[in-house]
Amino acid sequence: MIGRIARNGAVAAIVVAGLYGLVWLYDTSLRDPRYFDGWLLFAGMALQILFSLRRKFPRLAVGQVTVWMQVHIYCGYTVVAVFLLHTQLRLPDAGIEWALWSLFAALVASGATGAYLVKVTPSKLATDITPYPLEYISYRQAQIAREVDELVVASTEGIGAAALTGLYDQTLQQFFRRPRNLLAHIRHSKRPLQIIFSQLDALERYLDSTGKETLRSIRNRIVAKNDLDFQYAHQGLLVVWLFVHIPATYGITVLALAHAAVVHAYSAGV
Amino acid sequence: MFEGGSTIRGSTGPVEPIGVEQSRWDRPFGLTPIEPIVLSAILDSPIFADVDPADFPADLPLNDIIANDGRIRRFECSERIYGEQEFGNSLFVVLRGHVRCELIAGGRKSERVGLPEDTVSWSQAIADFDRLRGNVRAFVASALKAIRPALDMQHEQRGFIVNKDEQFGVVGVLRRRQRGESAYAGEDDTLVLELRWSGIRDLRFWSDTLCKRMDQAYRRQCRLTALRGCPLFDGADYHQLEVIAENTVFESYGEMDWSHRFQRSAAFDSQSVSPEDIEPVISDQGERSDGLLVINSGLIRVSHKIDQAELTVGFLTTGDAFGLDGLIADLNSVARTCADYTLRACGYADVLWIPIFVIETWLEIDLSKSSLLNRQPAAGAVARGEELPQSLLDFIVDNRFINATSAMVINTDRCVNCDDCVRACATTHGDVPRFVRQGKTHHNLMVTNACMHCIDPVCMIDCPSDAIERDAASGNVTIKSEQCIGCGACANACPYGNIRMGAYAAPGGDVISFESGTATLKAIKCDLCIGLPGGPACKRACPHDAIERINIGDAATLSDWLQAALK
Repeated sequence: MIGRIARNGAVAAIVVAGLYGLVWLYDTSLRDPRYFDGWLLFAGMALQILFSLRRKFPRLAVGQVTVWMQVHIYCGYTVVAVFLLHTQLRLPDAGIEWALWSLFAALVASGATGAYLVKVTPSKLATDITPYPLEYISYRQAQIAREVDELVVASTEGIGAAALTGLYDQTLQQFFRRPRNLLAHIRHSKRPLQIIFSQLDALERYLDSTGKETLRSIRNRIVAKNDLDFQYAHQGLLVVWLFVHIPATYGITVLALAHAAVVHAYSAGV
Repeated sequence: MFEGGSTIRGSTGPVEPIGVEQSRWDRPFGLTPIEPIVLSAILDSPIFADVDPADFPADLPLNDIIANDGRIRRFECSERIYGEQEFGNSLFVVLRGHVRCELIAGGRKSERVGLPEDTVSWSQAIADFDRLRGNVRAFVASALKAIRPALDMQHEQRGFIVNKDEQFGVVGVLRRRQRGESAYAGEDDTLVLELRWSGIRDLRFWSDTLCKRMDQAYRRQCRLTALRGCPLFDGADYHQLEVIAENTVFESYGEMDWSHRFQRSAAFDSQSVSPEDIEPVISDQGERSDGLLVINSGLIRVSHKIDQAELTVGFLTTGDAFGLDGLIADLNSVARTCADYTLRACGYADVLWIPIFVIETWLEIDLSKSSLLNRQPAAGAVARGEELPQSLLDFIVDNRFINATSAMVINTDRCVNCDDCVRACATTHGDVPRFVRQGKTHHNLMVTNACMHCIDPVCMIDCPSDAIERDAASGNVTIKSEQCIGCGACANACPYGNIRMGAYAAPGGDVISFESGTATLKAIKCDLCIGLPGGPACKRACPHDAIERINIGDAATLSDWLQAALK
């Protein structure tokens, strides 16, 4: 793995050096190099979009997607270098340029975040918890919520029922309704679960044997729901960055074309 | 009823018109069923003459089986009938002329399907295009290749002759494996009857006479092909091999159709049944120190008893020999034998037991092999999988994943559940994925529910219409959708639950319901994207390098992949 990173990094560095050299040569011919590196930047971004096309058309079978992924990542670094060259490390001074700059920053930040998350998250998910697909988690969660609801309704006749239903109304119903404590799960904190368990422990002495049995069943379902939340949080992380990355890609493509059109419309022909 | 054709969801090819229920013999083996006159001549031949048609049920008469599941083929002198290493789906009976079978010298190649060697990369495709220019030369070479066996046969006796009314090709078809010999027509206008598997299965089931006759031929040919494959005997000519074969013991263990019992006892997780309880002992620890065991077919667990428990130390598959080092130790009077282990059949196994006196006699004849006596016995290496961690070895042997030649394994430490693999599979196969991205896991290794293209594909046994078969060249187990009648026998038989039933769909995409109100189903499973340049789409679509197709029998590859995956 280290070998692959070093090799790909070296290739990207050589490409960046080559592109800087080309821009320098262009500059020495007394033409405006911003046109040249601008189009280089656009070409780099177009190459990045090809990765998405490769994923959408698996029958094309033009190379393995894992190779395309590596190209996508290291081409991304190269594009950042060309962007810095193109902007000359200056902040924008017009509305459309601010929009472009912001989208580019969002694109790079989300891409880097995504690259980090796909590296670290799968191993965090490798626990003893039964894995569920992300799309199935809500269904399973609703199932558990219904079971707990039925348990509480069935226990309304027993001793301590008021205390149990009170806890259900105040805490448990909220807990089972939707994914909870996502940030805590990302931090691997067990504090929210401990708080709920302490409330259950406090309740136990008010219940008869039937109520205690019900409480035990609810406790098991809390653990199951908590596991689902854990998976939801981490699997969600693997997806959520795409909600920034993909719209930013579309946005920057449109704006970059508009930017090129405006620049050439007002160019002096150099 | 619906008009016109339709497609099966998940298949790229056309299927039968909707509304017509398919049955077993809608597609006979030949273009048409065998003519009654020819059929009558076949039934009068010695091989079928003593078979009583009354033994067969009314809805499965002998005549219809042979007419529909058989076909007549004509060959010119030296024309190849089938080649060595081809996977067998049929058996042959000589009706006119004779056939020469040439045994493979120097050992069989490993039994595995055609990945990745058989898949075509783009660079390979370009190279192939370049190769097209050599077509003429290739034609001449192939013509010479076809003639050469006949020429060679005149100089060297390397095989056996199959005369009129005798059968051949029985090993390949009964064990659904690579053929151990090449068959060539011995004269012009040689006629053979070729019977496909479903017909053979029914003939064997309903006629004891035919079953015994096939078993006899099977055991004889197994001995010869296995011995020819053993490097120890590669200097022997055919007659010497026959003598050795006569003194070799052939033994079968377990049930050929082992899947159902395995599935029933798949409650291993509950610890109520241990894997060893359903695996018959081939050789108990302390027995059989006096010979060499050659695994003709099947999967074998090698274990070592520690107190009352058995510790799995490795496994053996088709073509492996066990006990050679122990044998050398014996011959060198070194105090070490192969009887330190217990061997159990995982499902079904055919083994050949070559007694030590046969080997000693042969070593006296073939002095070139006497160097074996000077070889030091290998330290420890007695079976496959010894390099794997104990828990992983138990995982793959207990679940019989060692049967897999092309299992789809996922490194869960890299998989991000993006489902690109599933989407790629669906896109390649008419919007229905051929696998489910779930399966049994061991640490970061997941063996998914995708067809593993087994060494012993038991799913093929019960198919009534021969819709599921092994590709002769690559060994890939594929389903011919147009021939599948949707009975679900293969799906029930797959020990790993890797075959599913998919619904018919009209061209518009609606699932078809017949008047009964039920949808017509056909079997669907991974076909390794046969014909797709670059190989399986799932593997190529994974952005995180988390998927691999692995021959689990090749434990070293599995070990290397897992090591690489940790990095």
